[in-house]
Amino acid sequence: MEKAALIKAKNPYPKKKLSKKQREALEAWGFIGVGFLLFVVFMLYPLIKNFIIAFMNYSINPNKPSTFVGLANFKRAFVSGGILEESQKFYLALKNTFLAVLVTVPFQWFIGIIIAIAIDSLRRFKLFYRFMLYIPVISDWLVVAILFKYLFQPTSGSLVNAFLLKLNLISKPIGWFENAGTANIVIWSLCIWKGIGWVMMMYTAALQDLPKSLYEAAMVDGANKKQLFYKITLPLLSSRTYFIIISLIIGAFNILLQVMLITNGGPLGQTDVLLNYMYNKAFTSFDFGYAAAISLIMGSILITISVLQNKITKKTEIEF
Amino acid sequence: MKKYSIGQIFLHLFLLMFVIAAIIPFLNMITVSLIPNSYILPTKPQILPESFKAISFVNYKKVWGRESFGRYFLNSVFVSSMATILTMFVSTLSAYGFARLNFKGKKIIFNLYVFSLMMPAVLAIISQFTVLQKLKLINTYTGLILLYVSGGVAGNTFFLKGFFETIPKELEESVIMDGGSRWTIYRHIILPLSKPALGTLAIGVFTGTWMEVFTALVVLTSKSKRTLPIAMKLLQNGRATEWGLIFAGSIIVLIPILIIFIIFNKQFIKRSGAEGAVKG
Amino acid sequence: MSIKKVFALILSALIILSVFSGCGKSAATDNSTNNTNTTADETKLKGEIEMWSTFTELENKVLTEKVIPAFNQKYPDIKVNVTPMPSGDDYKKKIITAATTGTTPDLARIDITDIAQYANEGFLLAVDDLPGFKELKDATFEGPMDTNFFNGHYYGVPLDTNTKVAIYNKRLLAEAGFTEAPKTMDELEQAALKIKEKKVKGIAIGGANTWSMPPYFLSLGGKFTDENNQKATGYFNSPESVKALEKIVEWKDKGIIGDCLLGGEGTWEGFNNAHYMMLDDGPWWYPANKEQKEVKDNVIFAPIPKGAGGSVSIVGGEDTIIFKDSKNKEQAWAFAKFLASDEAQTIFAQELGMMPVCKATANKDVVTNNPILKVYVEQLSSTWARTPSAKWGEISNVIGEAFEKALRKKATPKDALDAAAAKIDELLSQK
Repeated sequence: MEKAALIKAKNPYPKKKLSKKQREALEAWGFIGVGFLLFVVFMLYPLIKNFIIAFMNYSINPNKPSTFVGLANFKRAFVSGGILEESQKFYLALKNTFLAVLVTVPFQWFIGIIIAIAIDSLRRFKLFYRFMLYIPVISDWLVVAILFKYLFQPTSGSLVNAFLLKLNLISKPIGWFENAGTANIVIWSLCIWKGIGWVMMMYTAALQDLPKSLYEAAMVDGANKKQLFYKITLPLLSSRTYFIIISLIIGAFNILLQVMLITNGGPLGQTDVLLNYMYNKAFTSFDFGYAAAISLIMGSILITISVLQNKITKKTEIEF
Repeated sequence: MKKYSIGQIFLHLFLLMFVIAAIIPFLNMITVSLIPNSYILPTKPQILPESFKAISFVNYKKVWGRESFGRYFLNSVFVSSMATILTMFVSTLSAYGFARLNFKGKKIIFNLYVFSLMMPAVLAIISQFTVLQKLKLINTYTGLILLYVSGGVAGNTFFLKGFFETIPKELEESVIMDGGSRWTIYRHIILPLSKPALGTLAIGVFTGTWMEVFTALVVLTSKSKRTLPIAMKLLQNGRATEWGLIFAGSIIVLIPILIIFIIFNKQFIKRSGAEGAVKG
Repeated sequence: MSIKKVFALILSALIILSVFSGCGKSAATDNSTNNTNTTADETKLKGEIEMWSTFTELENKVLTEKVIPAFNQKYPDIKVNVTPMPSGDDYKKKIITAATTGTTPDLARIDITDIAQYANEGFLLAVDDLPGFKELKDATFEGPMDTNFFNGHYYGVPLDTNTKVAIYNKRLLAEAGFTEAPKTMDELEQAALKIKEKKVKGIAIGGANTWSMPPYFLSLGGKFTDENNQKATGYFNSPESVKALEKIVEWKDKGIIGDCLLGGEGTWEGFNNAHYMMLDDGPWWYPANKEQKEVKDNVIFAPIPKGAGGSVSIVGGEDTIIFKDSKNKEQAWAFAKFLASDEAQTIFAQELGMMPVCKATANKDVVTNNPILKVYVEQLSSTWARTPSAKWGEISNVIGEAFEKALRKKATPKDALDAAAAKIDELLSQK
C-alpha cells in the first residue's frame, strides 16, 4: 500500500506543462473515473433508454416494431377520458404516494433522530439499542408484510385491535382493510416501523463523525453541555439532514412491496401507489411505454422536490 | 451525579419502548418459525411460544437440509463480501473526488448522480442485462458484482461526500506541505477520520447485497451459482405456503447480517472524540 | 405520385408472394416432418435441454428422480437439466429478460394465465404443427389443453392442472341439517342460513377476485365472455350474470358469506377455526390442512353445487412451453410431450397426488381409488379457463373491481357489470 502510494505520488503526471487546474482535474478523474464509467454504462444508459421508451408504444420483443407515439403515454396519465379511465387510477396512485411522503417521512425522520440522540447520550448499552432497533431494517419484506397484515387482522383477537380495545381507545375491533384510510395506516406504519432504524443509523454515523476539535474549542470557551448540543451538535446534524430527508422521500416514492403484499391496492384500488401502479402496467400488462412514462413523471416530481428542498436547506448547511 | 442517573433511566425507558415496538413482530416471527406444518398463521398472534414443549426446530432443520444450502450460503458470502469491498473502494474514491477536488463538469455529474437516484427505470434490468450480454458476463459473479457496485455509485457518493466535507481542511494542508499527494490524503486522513460513516455504509451495502434477490436471479442462471435469497424464495413455490418454513428461512438469512452489524459497530462506529470532550 | 403507386404495387406483390411462398414452404416442411418423423426416429434424438421449473422442491425431486429417468429409458440420448425457479413476479421478469436477449432455456413451466401474454410477445413456439400434437391433444383433457390456445394456435401442452371443489365441515353441515353435501346452490343457501344461528358463516369465498368468485358466479348462471373470448358486453352484463351477482350480494347481505370475501379472516384460518362451514379450494388444500382438528375425519368433498349455470368451477395449473429461441426444439418437444403423457402423469399422480391432464391416467386406480382426487377429476370436466388474452391481467382487475364494487355497495350489480363489460371489450380489442 505504502509503495503504491509512493509510486502514485511520484509519478502520476510527470509533464509539468499542465496548469494547476488541469492537474487537479486529472487527479479528480483518477478518483471518480471508475465510478463514473460504471455509472454511465449500467445506470445512465438504462435511464436514457427509459426516457426514449416513454415516448413509444414499446414492444419488449426486439423483433417486433416499437413505434413513437409522442406524448400519448403522458396524455393517458394526465388527461381523463377513454373507457378505461386510466388517468383516474394514476391520480389516485399519485395522491397516495404524496400522502405516504407526507406521513411517513416526518415520522421516520423525527423518531429516528430523537432515538439516535438518545442512544448517543447513553452511558451504557448503546450497541444493544442500536442492534435491537436495526432488526426491523434488515427483516425480509415478505415476512414483515405478512406479519403486519396478520397483526392488523379485523378480529378482536388480533394484536393491534386487542391492544386498542384494552386501552379503551376503540369500542369494537377495526376492520383495517375495509377502507382506504385505515388500510393506508397499516401500510404507513410498516414503512415507519421499518424506516426508523435506518434514520437512527444514519444519524448515529453523523454523531460519531462530529469533529472533536470543535467540541474542544467550545469547551475551552466555557460552553456548557446544553450549549454544545444546540450550537454544535444540532447544526452539524442538520448538515446530514438533506441527504437523509431526500433518501426518505425517495423511499416513500418507492413504496411497492408494502402495498403489493398488504393490500395489493385494495379496497377497490384505493391504496395503490405510483410504483405499484407502474410495475403492474409494466409486468402485468407489458405496457412498457406507459410504465416508462409514469417513471419519468415520478422522477420529475422527485427532482423538483429535491431542488426545492436544496434551496431551502442550503442556508443551514455548514461549510468548513 | 444523581440527576444524571435519573436522566439515564428515563432515556432507557424511552428507548425500551421503541425496542419493544421494534421486536414484537420479530418475536412473533420467531414463534411462527418454531411451529411445524404451519400453513396458516395461529389465530391469536403469539409473541412467545405457548409452551416449551410446543417448540420444534423442524423448520430450521428443513431449511438447512434443503438441496445445496451450504453452497448457496457460501456463494452469498462471496458475492456480498466482494460487492461490499469493491463498492467501498469505488465509492470512497469517488466521494473524495467530489468532496475535495475541482474539475469541469463536477456539478453536472454530481447532479446527474443525485437525479439518477430519483428515476425509477422500469426496464433498467433489461438494459443492464443486454450490456452484460455484450460483455459476455451473463451467469458470472463478475457481472452480478459489477451491477451491485454500479448501482451503489451514485447514492454512496452522495452519502459519503457529505461526511468527507465535514473533515477540517487544515489537516490536509499539512500533508500537502509535507509533499504528500491526494492519495496520501485519501488514504491517511480521509479514510481513518470517516470510520463511522464507512462502517455504516459497509453495513448498509452488505445488507443490501446479502438480501438482494431479483438481480441475482436474472444474472445468475445456473443452479450452482445461486445465492441464498434465491434459494429462500424457492420456499414460496407451490400453492400452499408453509409459513413456518419461510419464517425460519428468513431468520437464518438474517443472522449473518446481525453478526456483521455487531462487528462493524464495534470496529468502526465507536464514539471516539466528542464524548471524551463532553465528559472532560 | 406515380412512383408511389409503383412502389405500393411492388410492395403488395412482394407481400403476397412472400405469404404464398411462406405457406408453401411450411406446408411442405410439415408434410416432410410428418412423413419422416416417426416415433422410432424421435427416440434417437440426441442433445441436452434445459427446463425452468416452478415446482416445489419435492415436486422437482419427483421430476428429476422419477420422471426424467423414465423419459431417458425411451430417449436415452437426451439429457434434461432442470433449473428450479421461484414462481410469481420475479419469474416473469426473468423470462422477459431472457426472452428479449435470446438467453431463454429450451422449455419452461408457465402458469396457464401467462401463456397468451408470452405468445403475444412472440416468445413461444406454436406447437400445433409438430409431430404427434394431434394425438396428444386427443389424449388430454380439453380444459387444460385450451389454456394453451391463443390466436388460432396452441403454444404449449398441459403439465399439471387443478380445479376447485366444495369442501364442507361435516359436523357443521350436520348441524345445518345436511348429512351429505348440498347438491344445489339453493340447498347451500338453505344450509348456510341454518348454520348462521350458530354464528358460523356458511360460505367462504376467498375474495372478490377472478380466482375466488367464478365457481359461484358461473354456477349461478353468470358468464364472462362469448365462447370465442371476443366480447364481454351481452355476456358479463347479461341478465343471467346480473342475477348471479345479485344472488352473491344477497348472500353477503344476509350474513352467510365469510369475512374473507372482503379481506377478513382467510378461508383456511376460518375453516380451521370452525368459523366457516364450507370453502372451495384446490387439491393442495387437504395435504396442508389434514392435521387440523376441524379437518381430520371431518370433511366432505363434493362438486360445486349446481345453480342456473350448472356446476362450474375454475381451472388452474401450468403448461410446458417451448421458447422460440430454443436450439433443440425437437428434443424439447419430445420432452414436453412426454410430460403430458400417461406415463409421466401416472408418476406425478402416484408420487404427489397431482391431478392428471391425461384422460387415460384419470381412469387408473391411482386416481379412481383416491376418493378426494376423484372428486377433483370429476369436476375438471366442467370448468372455466380464464379468458386467454394478452391483457388478461388487466381484464382480471376489471372483473375483480366490478365484483367488489357491487359487494361493497358502491354500485348496483347491473351498473358494475355494465361498466366492466365495456372495459373488457376495450381490452379485448387491443392488439
